[in-house]
Formats: sequence, structure tokens, C-alpha cells
Amino acid sequence: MLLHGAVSSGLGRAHVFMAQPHYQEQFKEVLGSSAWPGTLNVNLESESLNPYRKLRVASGLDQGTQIVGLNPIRIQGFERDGKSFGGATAFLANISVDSKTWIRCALLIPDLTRHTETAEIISNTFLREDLPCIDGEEVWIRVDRSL
Amino acid sequence: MTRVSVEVTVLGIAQDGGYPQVGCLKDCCAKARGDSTLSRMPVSLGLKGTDGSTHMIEASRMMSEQFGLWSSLGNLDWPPSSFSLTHAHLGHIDGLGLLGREAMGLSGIKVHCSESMSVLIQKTPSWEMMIDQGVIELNIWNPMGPFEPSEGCGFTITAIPIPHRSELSDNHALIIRGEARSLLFMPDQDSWSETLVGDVGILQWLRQLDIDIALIDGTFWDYSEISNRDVTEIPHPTVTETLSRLGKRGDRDPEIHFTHLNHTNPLLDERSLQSEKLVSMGWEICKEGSVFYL
Repeated sequence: MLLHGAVSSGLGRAHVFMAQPHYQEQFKEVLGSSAWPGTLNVNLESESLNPYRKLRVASGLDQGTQIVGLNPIRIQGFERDGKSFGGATAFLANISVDSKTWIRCALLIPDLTRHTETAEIISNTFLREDLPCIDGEEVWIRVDRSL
Repeated sequence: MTRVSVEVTVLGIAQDGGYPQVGCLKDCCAKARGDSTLSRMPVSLGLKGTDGSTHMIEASRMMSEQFGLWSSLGNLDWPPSSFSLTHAHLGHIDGLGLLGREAMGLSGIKVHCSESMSVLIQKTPSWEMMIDQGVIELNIWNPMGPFEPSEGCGFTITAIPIPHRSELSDNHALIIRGEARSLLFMPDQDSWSETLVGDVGILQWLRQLDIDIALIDGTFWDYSEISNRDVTEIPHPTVTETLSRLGKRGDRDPEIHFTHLNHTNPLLDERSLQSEKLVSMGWEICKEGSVFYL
């Protein structure tokens, strides 16, 4: 499954969540090592909205037919100091700016996200430097599937 | 940024015997003998990857004409890197020998197939010889496991086991997944009740498999076409049954194209009432030379 869109800036608050040890422990299991404490936001083009909706269905956020071959990974929420941190669903993927060189990543769909047209990407590395990319630049996200 | 698509070219839409069919002296085939533009080749697809590599689905005896059609559309990069075979019935494999020394004299052509197909190929002397001579190299697929027919081709093929009379080998449908869309090629099946598990309907099954375009078994319009054969020996769901299961096409339904048409099937005539009915319901009849972009 391939998604396509343009890099955008979020509210800059993702690092607060990404830095939480409870999340980081789970991201290690997904990505193989710690995640960079931030997300890369990608505003999806119209053609990618339908496949993205299938990921939201697989995450339990939207109604629809569950397609086989997607491998959602559950990220558990937790409470800390009286604050509640929500769960999320991750899908292993690769990201590229030229469809030739790919960097391992995961597409993260938080349970409480308001984004329905923006993909949030996590990776071991700072993707804005390693891809590299800047706001407005187009990227490809290839989501793993087993069928 | 431009994206290169995988191209799937339809190189044949007829049942194994082709159209006109040898031995048929009825009107259906007499008119096709009188007008070669009406003739149709056994089912086959030509795939072109994003890297320019080419791949065949099925190996029919009409490969020469099929390559000619593919070439005329400007899509053929000679020779194909691989063949993928759904099963061992006549029109799906009877051209395999054309790869060998008596005809094209190719070497190192990958043949992707099931384990039971590979056993049949290895037990058939003329095909076993092609392995010994290095003409073909067998690659046994894992059912339900996607594979790249050649590295870096830009698409995967996934074989789905499908019940179909298995005197010679088992039978698979193939899902061809490009980066943007997925196509199901299912030319043969015994019945929907055996293919579909539980209460799942055709459209739900296709959605679960994430299929955008389905080329499915349309062998017979209905069994009244077959007056001189025992249909239990050649089971296929009729198109009329499939249409009654499908109903009219909805906005978000996948494309469904009927293929593997028997020489008796009125869908071979685009102007027949049956063709008009099918099209009016929003479904399609597969056409030779059509190209799908995945």
C-alpha cells in the first residue's frame, strides 16, 4: 500500500508524547530501537485518502471492511502523574522522497487523533534530516503488507 | 514527482479451447471462422514492471499471437523474465514448450507455480527436459505469501488457493499488487460456494483482499449453452449466478471483468442481450488489448 503526500508542520507537541518512556519501550519493539522524539506529518493527497482510510479501519477508528494482510501493531496507552496518555496503532512502513531510497519507519495512528488526512510517521532517525525533506516536499510511504 | 505504474495487458479472454474452438461446427464458431476479428485467445496477461521487466501470466499455445498483440501496444520488452501458472489445464500451460529449443530457445526463464504444478512439470518428460537444459527454472510459491516475480519489478504476486477440479494440479487465483492498485486474476473456479468461506459475499471477499480490479471466471453465461456435455464434469459458476450474487455495481465497488469465456458464451458478442444486461449492471466483459495500471 503506497501513500503519497506533502510534508507539513504539526503543532510541535508530538515530542512530549514521543519522549514518554512507556511509549518508547513499545516503539523499540516496533522499530527495533528507540524512536526519534517527534513525528513527521504528511498531508495526504486525495488518491491516498482511501488507502489511509483502510488503515484507520484496521486501527478500529473507522467503520468498514477489514482487509487482510495488514499488520496493525497495538501501542498501549497509560497513565502517569494523573495524566492519561492514549493508545495508538502502528503500521510498519518505509518512507522515501524519490521512490528509490527508502528509510524504515512506522505510520502511527493515535486513538485520539483528529487527523483523517494527515499521516504521522515515526522513525529511529530525524527524518527531516535523513531523508532529507522540508515542508511542502512530497514523500512516499509504503506500508508493509503480508498478502 | 512522477510515478511509474505497473501495466497489466490482457492478452487473451477465451476459455482454454480458444474461440473459435476446434471441433465446434455450430454458428458460434462458424461466424468466428469467417471473421478473424472475432477470434479470441486463451486467457493470459502480460505484466510490465516499473523497472521495465516483463512477465507473463499463463503459457498458452497462442503465445506468438499474444506477444504480437502485446508488442503492437508497445509494451513488450523481450523476452519476458518470468511466467506464473495458475493451474495445469490445457490453455494455461500448453505453450510452455514454446520457450524451449524447438521454438524460442530461451534460457533461465523463471516459472512461478504451486508445489503440485512443479511436481507435474518435473514428471512430464518434455517439460523436465526444459529444466535440465536450463530453459526454465521453477520457483514454488507459498500460497497467500506475496513474492516478486523478479527483484525490483515493482509489484508482487500472491497466489490464493481456489477449488477447481484438480486432476493434474491444484488451482490458484493470483493477486497482482502494484503500489497504487491491486488486480485479481481468477480465470477458473468450481463454484462460489467453495471459493467463498462462510457467509462472505463476492464483494466483501474482494474488499477483504483489497482488490480494485477483478478478472473473474465467466466461462458460461448459463448452462443452457452446453447441450452435449455433462456440466458436472466441467463445473464453473455461471455468469447469471455471479450477477445475481453481485447485483448492480455500487459507487465504491471494485471493477469486475468477466473472462475465460467459453466459445458458446454470448458475452463474446458485445452486442448480445446478455452483454448489454451485464454492462447495464455496471460490470464489464474483459477485452483483449485492455491495459490496467496498478
